[in-house]
Amino acid sequence: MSWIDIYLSDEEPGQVYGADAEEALTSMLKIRDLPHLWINYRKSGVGLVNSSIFVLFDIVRNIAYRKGFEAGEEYLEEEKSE
Amino acid sequence: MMGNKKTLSDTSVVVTTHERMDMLKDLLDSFSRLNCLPGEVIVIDDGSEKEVAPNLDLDTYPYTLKVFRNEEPKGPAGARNVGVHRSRGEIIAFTDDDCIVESGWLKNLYSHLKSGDEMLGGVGGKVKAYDDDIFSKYYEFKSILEPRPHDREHPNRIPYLVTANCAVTREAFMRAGGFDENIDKAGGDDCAMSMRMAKSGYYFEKEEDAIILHRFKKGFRNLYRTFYRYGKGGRYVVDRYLPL
Repeated sequence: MSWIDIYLSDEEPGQVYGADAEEALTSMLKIRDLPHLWINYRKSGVGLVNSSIFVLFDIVRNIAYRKGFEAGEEYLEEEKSE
Repeated sequence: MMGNKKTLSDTSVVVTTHERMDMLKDLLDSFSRLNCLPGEVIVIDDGSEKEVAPNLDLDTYPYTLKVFRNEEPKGPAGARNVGVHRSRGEIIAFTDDDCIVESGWLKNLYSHLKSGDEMLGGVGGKVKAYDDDIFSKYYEFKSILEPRPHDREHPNRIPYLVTANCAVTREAFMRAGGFDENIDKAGGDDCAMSMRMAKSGYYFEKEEDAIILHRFKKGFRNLYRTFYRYGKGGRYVVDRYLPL
């Protein structure tokens, strides 16, 4: 799982290999997407309670991913300093 | 041939492990149930406090099992590179020590890879949840460890491989330079390896019938940590390897 999946979830496969970090960040999950996610879970047959829990997981996942993505900048800084 | 099972003698399975002896034993047992056995299984004990090799009876498995040890942990990318360099197979399959493989796993990855052209560098399989808790259901429902097809003209192609369930050709792997050891924790290491291969012109495909069961970690703390690592590795991949 990587930022690429977040692109793909937006159905923009053409951008998979052509993006930079800024584009990737702006393509990550937004608050306005949450109701759509919940509706999609329900349409896919996920129960009422589990759909709500899945949305909660999506929020945690997105916060964590974004924080990690921002922190990942240090990898290249370490590489440059070597 | 081992018993009445065919052995795919030109395949190696590479597994790295760190402090998960019981899970590793379950994985090794599941290899015994494969309908086609690997030529060899290479286990890299990546600096586990309790050494792995003395706790395995190597002769009880119906395949050749070799265990090597890194005294100091190198991380999954570095450990897998060691595993590949220790292996001999032309086809190298990867899975994780917290997985269980289904019986057709290796044969289906192998057949798919062999049926492709020379630029098919790797094949990724299906990852199901081993457990039935809500976190496992989420990971499976969202296909977290299954990259989605990304190329409308080639609907079976996937953008990258996941080391929980994939196989690569040795030629493609070596030509691309293997795993990037700058990523010292799980998350992004497999994607970076795939991007190296993609930059060398290789592509990847999905094999739905190569199935593994994965023990996903439970709890919010683990959910956060897992995706933090994925995000961190993902950033490295973007900055270092993209655009292709």
